[in-house]
Amino acid sequence: MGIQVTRSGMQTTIQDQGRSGYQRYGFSVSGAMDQFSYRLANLLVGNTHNEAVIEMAVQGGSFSFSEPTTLAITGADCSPRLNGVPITMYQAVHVEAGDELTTDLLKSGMFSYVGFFGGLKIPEVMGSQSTSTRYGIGGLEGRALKSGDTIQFKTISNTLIESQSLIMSLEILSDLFDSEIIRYVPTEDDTHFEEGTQELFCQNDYSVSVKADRMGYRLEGQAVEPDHQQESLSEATVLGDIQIPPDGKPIVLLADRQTTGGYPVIGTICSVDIPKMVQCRPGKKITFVSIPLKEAQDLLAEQEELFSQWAAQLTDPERKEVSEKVSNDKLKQDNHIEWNPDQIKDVIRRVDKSKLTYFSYESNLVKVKLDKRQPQLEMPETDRLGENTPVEKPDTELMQSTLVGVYFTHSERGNQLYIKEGDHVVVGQVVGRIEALKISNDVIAFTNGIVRSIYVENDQMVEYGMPLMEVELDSES
Amino acid sequence: MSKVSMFPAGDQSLRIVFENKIDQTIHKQVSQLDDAISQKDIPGIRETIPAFRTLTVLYDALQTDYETLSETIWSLLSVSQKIPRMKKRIIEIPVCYDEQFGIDLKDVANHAGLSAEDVIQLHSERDYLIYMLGFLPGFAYLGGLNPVLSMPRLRTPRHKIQAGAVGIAGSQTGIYPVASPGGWRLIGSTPVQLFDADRESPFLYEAGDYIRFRPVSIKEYDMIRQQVYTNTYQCKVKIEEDGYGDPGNA
Repeated sequence: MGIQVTRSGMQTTIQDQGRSGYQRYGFSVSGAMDQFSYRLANLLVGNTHNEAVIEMAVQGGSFSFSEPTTLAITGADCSPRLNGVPITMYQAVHVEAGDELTTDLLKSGMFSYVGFFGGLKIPEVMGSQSTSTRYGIGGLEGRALKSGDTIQFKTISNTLIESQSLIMSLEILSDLFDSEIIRYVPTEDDTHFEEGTQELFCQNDYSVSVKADRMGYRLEGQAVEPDHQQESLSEATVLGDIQIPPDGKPIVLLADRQTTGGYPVIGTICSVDIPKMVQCRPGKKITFVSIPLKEAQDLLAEQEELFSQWAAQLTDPERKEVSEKVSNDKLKQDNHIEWNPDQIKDVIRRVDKSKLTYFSYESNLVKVKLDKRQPQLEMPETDRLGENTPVEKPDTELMQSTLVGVYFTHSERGNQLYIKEGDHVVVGQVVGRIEALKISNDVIAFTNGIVRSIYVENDQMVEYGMPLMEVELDSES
Repeated sequence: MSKVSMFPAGDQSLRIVFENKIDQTIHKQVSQLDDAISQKDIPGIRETIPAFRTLTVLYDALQTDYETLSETIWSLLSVSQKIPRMKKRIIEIPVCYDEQFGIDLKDVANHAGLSAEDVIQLHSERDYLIYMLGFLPGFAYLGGLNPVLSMPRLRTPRHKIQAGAVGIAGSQTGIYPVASPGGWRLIGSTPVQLFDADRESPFLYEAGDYIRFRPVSIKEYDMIRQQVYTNTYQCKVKIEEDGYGDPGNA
C-alpha cells in the first residue's frame, strides 16, 4: 500500500496528460485540467515522465501514507499540512510512513495537484491512467476517490529531492492565478460571425458562471451574436474552443469535452493560457485578447524553454539523492540561496499582490513566512430577543456552508422544499443542497432544533464559511 | 473537386473544410485525405479527427507549425483524391428487434403505416455508411436510413437507454454504444459490445466503414451475449467493392 484516502474532498481524481488518439472514435481526452501545474508537480518530484497525479477540485482531500515518498503540491493554494504543520507548495517534500497530508478548501483557483516521485501504480486504460468519470474508466474504477481508497506507488522513495520551491515560479504563479487576460486565436472562418464580432467580444468583460465542470466553463457577460442561419454540421472540438451557443453566452471547452460539436466557435484559447482559464473561479472577471497564431506558438515555445530551464535547475546541483532517510536537520545544512532585504521586500510585495494566502521559505540563514489568511468568519449576532431582554437567550447554532457553489432550497428531483423558517429539524435531516461542479451535495442538520432564520435564497451563490441558517437548539438536547 | 479551405483552429490544430453538406462524395474526400495523412507519417501530427465535411488535424506546435503543415496537406489533397477506389468494409451487427428491446417498434410502424415486420425488413436491408463518430464513445453517425422509417425523437427523453439499444431519431438511425439518456425511438438491441476499453481495439468500426444490421431471435441474442461475455464473439466483417464510384462522378 502507499496512499490511503482519509478524506476524499469534493472531486478528487487521478489524472495524467490525457487519453489521446481516440477523439476520432468519439472518446474524450480527459487528463489534468491544468496541464501546467500537472507538469510542474511531476517536475518538482524529479519525474522525467508524465506520471499520474492526484487532482483535487474546489475542496481538497486528506491522505495518509504507509510508505515513504517524495511529493509536491502545485496548482491552487489548498493550505497543505503534513501532520498538522503547514508545508510549502511548489516544493518537493519528503514524507515518511505514517505521515498524514491534509488539504483544505482551495483558495486561489479551482484545481490543485499532488505529484509523487515515481508516479502511481494505476493500470493504464487505452494508454492513459486518467479518470473519466463520464465514461467510468481509468484512475480508480473510473470514479472520483473516496475515503478508504488505497493507491500504490510505482516505486517507494527513500530519496529526498530538494528543489528551490516557489521562488523560481512566483511570477508565473501570479500570472496563473491573478491575470484577467485570456489570449485566444480568433477563427478565420468568417461564416458565422459578422464583421466586428471579434472586436466586440474583446471589448466586453466575461466571468465564469457556476456552470463550470471538467467538460467546460459557461461564461456570463455580453451575448455574442452568431449568424445561426447558416447551419453548422458537427465537427471535431479542440481544447480551449470558445463555442457560441444560440443564447450567445460563450462556453469554453475543456479536458472532458465532447469530441464533436456543432456550435460556431469564435476562437480557441492559446495553449499557454488554458491553465489560467481552468483556474478561474466562478465570478472571476476575465477579458479576452485576440492574438495572432504565430504569437501564440511563440508563447508556447517560451513556456517549453522555461520548463527545460527548471528541469535543468532541479536536477543539478540542487537535487540531492540519499539512499538513507534524511533527517530535517541535515536538510537545513544544505546550501540554499540567500536573500538580501530588497529581495525579501519584493517577495512580500508579490505575495501581497497575488492571491496566495500563505508562503514560507526557510534556509539556514533566513526564514520568511507570510500569512494572509483571514481569521474565521465572525458569527452574526444571534440574539434576536434584544439586548435588554432579561430572558435567558436560547442556544442557537449557526450552520455555515462548507462548499463554494450554488445553494438550493428545493430537492433536485420533485422540486420539494426542504425546510422553511419555523420548521423543526433533526440531526441528519437534509435541509438544503449545494451544487458545485455539477455535483449536488446535501446540507445536513447537525443538531435538533427549530430553524429561526434562513440567510440564503434559492439559486444563490454561496462561499465557504457563509452562514446558511440559524437553528435554535431544542432545550433538552 | 469542390472548393476546399484550410484554417487554423487554435495554436495546435488546423481544419480542412469541404463543402457544407452531408454527402457521400464529401465524406469520401475527407476520408481519402485522412488516409493520405496517416500513410505519410508527417512529423508533429498527433491525431486526425474526421467529421461530416471537415478533417481536424491536431499537431504539436513545438515540432511543426501551421505553414509547414498546411503546405504538406495541400500537396496531399490533390494526390489523395486520385487514390483508386476504396474497398467497402461492412461490419455486421446482430440486432434483436423483439418488443422486449424494441419498445417503440410498434409506434414506428404505426407512424410509417407499416407492420413491425416491414420496419425490420426495411431497417436491416441496407448498409449504412458511418460518416463520423462522436457524441459518445463509439457513437456512429449513420447515413442512409429509408425515409419511410424516419420519425421525430420522443418529446421527453428517457433517463437511461441501455448500451446496445438501436433506435431512430428523425432521419437517422444509430446504436447507443454506452448507456446514456436519450430521446431516440428504440426498435431493437444488439448483444455486441460496441465499445470495450479492455479490448485490444476498443472500437469495432471507424468513419468510412459500413454497418449492416442482421435480425436475430431472442435465443440467438442470448447466445451471442454469452459469447461476448467470454470474449469469443467476433462481428462478421465483409469487404465489398465500393458501391458509390468515383467522387467526381457521384
